[in-house]
Amino acid sequence: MIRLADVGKVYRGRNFEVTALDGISLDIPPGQFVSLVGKSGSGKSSLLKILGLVDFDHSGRYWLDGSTYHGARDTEVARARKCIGYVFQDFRLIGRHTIWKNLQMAAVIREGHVDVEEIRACLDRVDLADKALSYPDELSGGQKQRAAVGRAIVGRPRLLIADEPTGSLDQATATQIMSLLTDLHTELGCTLVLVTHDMDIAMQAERVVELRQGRIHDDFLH
Amino acid sequence: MTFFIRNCVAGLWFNRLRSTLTGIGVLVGVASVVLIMALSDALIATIDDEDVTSCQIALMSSAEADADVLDAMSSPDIVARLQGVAQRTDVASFAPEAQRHIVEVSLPTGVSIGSMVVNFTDSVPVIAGEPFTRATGDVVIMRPNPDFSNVTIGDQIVINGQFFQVIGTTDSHGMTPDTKLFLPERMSSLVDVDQLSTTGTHLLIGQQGFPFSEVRQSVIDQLNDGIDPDMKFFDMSAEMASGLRDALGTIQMVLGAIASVSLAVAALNIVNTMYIASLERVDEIAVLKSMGMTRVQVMALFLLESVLLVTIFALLGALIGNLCAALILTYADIPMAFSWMALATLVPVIVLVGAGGGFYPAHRAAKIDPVRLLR
Repeated sequence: MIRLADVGKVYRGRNFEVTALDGISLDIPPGQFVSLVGKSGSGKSSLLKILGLVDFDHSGRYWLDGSTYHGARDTEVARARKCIGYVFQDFRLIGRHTIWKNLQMAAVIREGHVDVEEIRACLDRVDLADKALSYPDELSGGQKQRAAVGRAIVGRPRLLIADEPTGSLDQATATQIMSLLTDLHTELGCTLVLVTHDMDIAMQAERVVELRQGRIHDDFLH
Repeated sequence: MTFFIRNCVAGLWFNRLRSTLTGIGVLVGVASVVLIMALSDALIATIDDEDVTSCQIALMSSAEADADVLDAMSSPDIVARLQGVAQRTDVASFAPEAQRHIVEVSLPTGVSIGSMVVNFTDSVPVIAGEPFTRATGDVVIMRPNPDFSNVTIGDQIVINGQFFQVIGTTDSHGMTPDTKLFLPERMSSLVDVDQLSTTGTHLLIGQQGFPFSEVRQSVIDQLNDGIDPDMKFFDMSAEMASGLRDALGTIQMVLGAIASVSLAVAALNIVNTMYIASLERVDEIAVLKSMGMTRVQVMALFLLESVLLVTIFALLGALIGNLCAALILTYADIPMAFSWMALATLVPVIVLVGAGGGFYPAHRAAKIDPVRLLR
């Protein structure tokens, strides 16, 4: 369960001050697929950082599964992050490791051990079993994103956060990735928060939250 | 843990050229330190080994004029003291029971063993810690003496009409046979006090396993017991060895300090290498932290990597340093005597260099914020 109460975020520089989020209040029930849409600068990435427990420099309150991590110790935040799977626009695979090892690393960090069967299942699920020993540089954009999705689902996270997962892909590959994420959401029963500026992609979610100038402009179930 | 170690090895292997170049710095530093330690330890051990089997006892006088010194050394008291205190010898072969009781007394040139009147008193073994007393036993024959060239241990021989049992034989050790008489005990009344040379340095020689330092101290204590305060018997060889040991120790320290500079440079190199690694892997660390890795774990990852890098090359350096030392010492015909204690001291220093060099980059890496991953 995600709960945001009057969350605000202001970026301050020497000569500027930009309000990225302004009094966001939002509840996302467990297992929901939510798209955050909006134009550039609307505050969707800022919101995603807060949801993903990587940015704590904000006003208001944020609860994840009933706990708030504002001012929490590093170990507590790290423990909470283990339940979150991230899919980034530019994949962020570790280039010096094979795909198998990228997933293995996630397993070690999240679960403290390596379950070979689980890693194999994740690779099978993203249809990359034959690329397990390949390095990220040897894969196409779509394959890289599938590998990133595979890594994100290791340990069956309760919250999956996808930041413009199709932003670097062509239309056909983007469709494949979206199909994969949708299926995984159903199979894993996890909460999926997707950030996109593409309305067509956003509409594949159960719920669409549109941000404008740091505020929720529209929030509807699809 | 195994996974983290393997990850560190993979990290080093991925940047193998850089890792190797950095590691070579460590290798050279450690090899120099080990080489210097091994060489000086071997030399010091050689000096110590010498001490185990021989020493020179000399008389020191406060007299300023040479004539006064000679007078002092010829005085009846000193002569009496020297009469029984002479030298132990590492004879070629001895009956086991005689090995600890051999004394060599210097005689004036021209006095032959064959013409000496030999009167042994009762035999008292030399025992560490016990007073140095008059004692005697049977005779030890110096083989080059033509009168006794064929005698062996156990033989009965006659000297000036008296029977003696041969309990040992020895070679000349470069000394003139006629001027030396080997007796089985350090004290004997066979020699006329007036015939003793008192100006020479007296050698005390023992065999391997001989309680040399105790006997030496016992002899010196005995010689100095109640002596004129202006005079003093001292162990000249020990003084020389001690001086040499001190000099070697100083050289070891200076060279060690110079070699340690290269270790310090290697540590700085580690800082540089790991710092660059932390910069290169900012995104990787951010990803790991986004997956739930703690700051402490990130630090540990980097520290482990730098310690691993340093340890691998330091061990190679220690090996190469020892091999070089072994080669040099073999060439110089000096036995290798590397101190394992020194190596045991070096190991934590090496780990400290690795950890110290990796600390700042690791600390920096641990502070990387995963927020940078989301645009």
